[in-house]
Amino acid sequence: MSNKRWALLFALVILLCAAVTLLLPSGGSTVGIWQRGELLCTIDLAAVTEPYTLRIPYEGGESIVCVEPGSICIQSADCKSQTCVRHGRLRPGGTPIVCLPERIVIRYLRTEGGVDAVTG
Amino acid sequence: MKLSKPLISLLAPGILCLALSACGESSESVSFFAMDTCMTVTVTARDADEALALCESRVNELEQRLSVTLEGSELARLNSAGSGTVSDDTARLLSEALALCAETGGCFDISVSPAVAAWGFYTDEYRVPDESELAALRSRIDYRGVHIDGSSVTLGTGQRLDLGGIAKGYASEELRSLLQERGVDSALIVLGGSVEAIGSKPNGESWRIGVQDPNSGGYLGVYRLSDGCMVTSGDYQRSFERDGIRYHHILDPRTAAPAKSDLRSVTVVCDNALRADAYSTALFVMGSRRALDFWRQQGDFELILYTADGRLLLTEGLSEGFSTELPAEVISHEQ
Repeated sequence: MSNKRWALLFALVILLCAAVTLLLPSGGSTVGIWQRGELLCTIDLAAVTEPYTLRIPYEGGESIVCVEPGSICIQSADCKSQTCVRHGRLRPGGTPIVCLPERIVIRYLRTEGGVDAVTG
Repeated sequence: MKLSKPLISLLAPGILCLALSACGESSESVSFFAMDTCMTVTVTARDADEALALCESRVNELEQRLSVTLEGSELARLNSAGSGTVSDDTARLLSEALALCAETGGCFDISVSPAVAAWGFYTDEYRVPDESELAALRSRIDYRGVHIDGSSVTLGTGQRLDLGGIAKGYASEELRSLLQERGVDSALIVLGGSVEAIGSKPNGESWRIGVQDPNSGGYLGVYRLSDGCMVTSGDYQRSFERDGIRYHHILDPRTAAPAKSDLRSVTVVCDNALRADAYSTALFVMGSRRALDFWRQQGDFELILYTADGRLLLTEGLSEGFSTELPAEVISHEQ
């Protein structure tokens, strides 16, 4: 093969590498749920077709997480502050849903095109 | 050994990628709970994981010293004893806090702790103290009763300190120093509602920081932040209702009750998170008119104010970097 063809082959491999990188799942719609620092699960909200609930038990009660197509929120919690319930739905790039007493955090794994952080 | 051209063509891109990733920096984040909030630190550095571990460890160390609710913390012991010797961290923060109390005319006051406790904000067991109780609480609130001499601290009779309005700002500044000493030039330190940026994003763009809308989960707007910090205080962050009245957590040291402010939120943008933390609380208590007078006098920070009647006020230094879909009034230094 000529040098031109070797160069073409080289370029093709580079392009293939780039394509694989770009086509890998971005994680942009995937949220993680942590409790006391431990990742309980990840959910791709774009892949959710039917609403369902998740129970996060802890001493003295539980929090119910409502998962819907494209959104997630804490529906109820057995704590006094109810801050996590009042937070409502998680917004891309918005403040994570946080339950301070039970150390529960729900946040996007990665945000794209939104904001990097929220003050408030 | 002589490598054939096809083999070189196939291996070279992989080797190139490996070489680039080996010598490049990576962006890593860590989230953890401390100081009654969720914290996230994002660092771009060669040893990002090590830097993040040091950040978490430093915040935990500070919490052990500065927390008012953590049993056995340095501050809890000081509150209990009324006097004592404290660490360099606590002494330094107390000195800076007292200076900020004076600078804000007592609208920020670290001796407000008895009132915070009486309203139930430490335990989430909320209650509304009656007027006689409020009068008794007011007599215990005055930062001028706190005396510090080196590492020795003495509180006035019945006084207790709460550094919650400033400890996250102090922690943010400590993390900034820690990271910069390690040569980090791109990081975002988010300690609850306190956001501090070291440099810009790895791609050179400014960090995009949303300012929460008190009325919804959305944003009042987005500010493009590089090398600076933003801290917000708002009446929506923590509150409870009794008999149809909503009581929020930002107490006016002069009344020992939730501040009757014409503001819903105050966002301070400046180059020091500790100052921004104290200012955001104090300026909320002051209300919009006094807050803007204070801004005009100081002149080295910027403000985003959202009023109870839905007006968005921006000080003139933010007119370039802040984007919003809401009608905003730009406030100039000249009255």
